[in-house]
Amino acid sequence: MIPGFLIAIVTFPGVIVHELGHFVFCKLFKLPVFDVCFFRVGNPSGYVIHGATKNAGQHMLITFGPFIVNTLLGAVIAAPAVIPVMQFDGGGLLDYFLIWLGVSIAMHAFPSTGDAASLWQGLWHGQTSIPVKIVAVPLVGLIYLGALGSVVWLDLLYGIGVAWLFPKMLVALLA
Amino acid sequence: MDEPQVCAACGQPAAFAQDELPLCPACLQAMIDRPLPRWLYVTAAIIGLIVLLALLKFPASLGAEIAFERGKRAEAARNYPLAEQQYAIVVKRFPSSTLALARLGIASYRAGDIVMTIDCYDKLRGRESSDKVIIEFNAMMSELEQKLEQQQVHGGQEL
Repeated sequence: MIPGFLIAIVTFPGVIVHELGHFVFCKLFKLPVFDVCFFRVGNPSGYVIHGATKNAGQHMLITFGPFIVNTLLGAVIAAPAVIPVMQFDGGGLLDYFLIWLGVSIAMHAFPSTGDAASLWQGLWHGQTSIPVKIVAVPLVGLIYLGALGSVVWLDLLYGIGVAWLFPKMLVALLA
Repeated sequence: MDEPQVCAACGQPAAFAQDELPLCPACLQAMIDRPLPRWLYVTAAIIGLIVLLALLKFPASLGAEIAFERGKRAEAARNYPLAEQQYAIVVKRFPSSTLALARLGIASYRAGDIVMTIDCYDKLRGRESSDKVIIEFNAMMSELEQKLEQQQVHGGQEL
C-alpha cells in the first residue's frame, strides 16, 4: 500500500486546488479564515480553518466547493490532452503534463473526512432545519464512503474518469 | 467577575467571538480579507498559460475525435465513402495513429478506394499490435490479396 503522504506529494496540485476551493467559498461568504495551509507533507496535507458559517447551506457549499472546483478545473485541463494520448497515440510531453495535472486535480475533488466531520458538527450546532438535515446527513455518509473508497483508489478512478469522460461527452454532443 | 476577553491574534480587547475564538474588529476584518499568497498567483498564471496553449490545439483534436465518431457511424450504416472521408480528417490530424490509419484502410477498401488502402497498409506495415482493429485490418488485407491473386488468374478483371 502506498502511504497517503506520497500520493499527496505526487498529486500536490490537487491538494492546493482543493484548499483553494474551500478558501474561495469562504471569501464568497465573507467568513474569517483563521488559518490556511495549501500544501504540506503531513496529515492532513492541507486545511482551511474558518469562522462559523451563517447557515448549513453555506457550510455545505464550503464543504463541497472543492468537489465543484476540482472536477471542473481537472476536466478542462486534461481535456485537450486526453484525445491525442488515449485515443490516437499522438501525445507529446505537454499532453502528458496536462493529464497528470488534470487527473491530480480531479482526484482531490472528494471532500475529506475532516470536511465531513466539520459539516456534521455544523449540522447539530445552531438552528439547522429538518429538510437541510435530511439532505446533508446522507451527503456526510457519502463523503465517508468516498474516503473509504480511496483505499481502493476510488479517488484516482474518479480523476481518470473525469479526464476521460469530459471530452467523450463533448463528442457525443457535437458528433 | 469575568475577565475581559482579549483578541487571540493581537491581544487587544476583543469585541467578537468567532467559534469561541475572541477577536478584535481589526483582526476579524483582516481574517475576512485574508489575501491569497503571491506564489499561488504566480503558479496559477504559469499553469493558466500552459492550459491556454493546450486549449489552442483542443479544437483540432476535438474535431478529429468528432470525425472519428462520425466515421464509425457511417461505417455502421455501410456508408463507406463517407466513413473514408471522415477517417481521412482524423489521419490528417494524427498521421501516425494506428487506430485511425487502420480504420481508414478498412473504410477505403470497402469504398473501393484501393490506392488509399495500400497507402494505409504501407504506413502500418511492421507495427506490432494486438488491437482488434489490426486483426480486422489484417483479415481485410488477406481478403484483398486473395482478390488480387484471383484477378491475376482470371486475366485482370476489375476488383
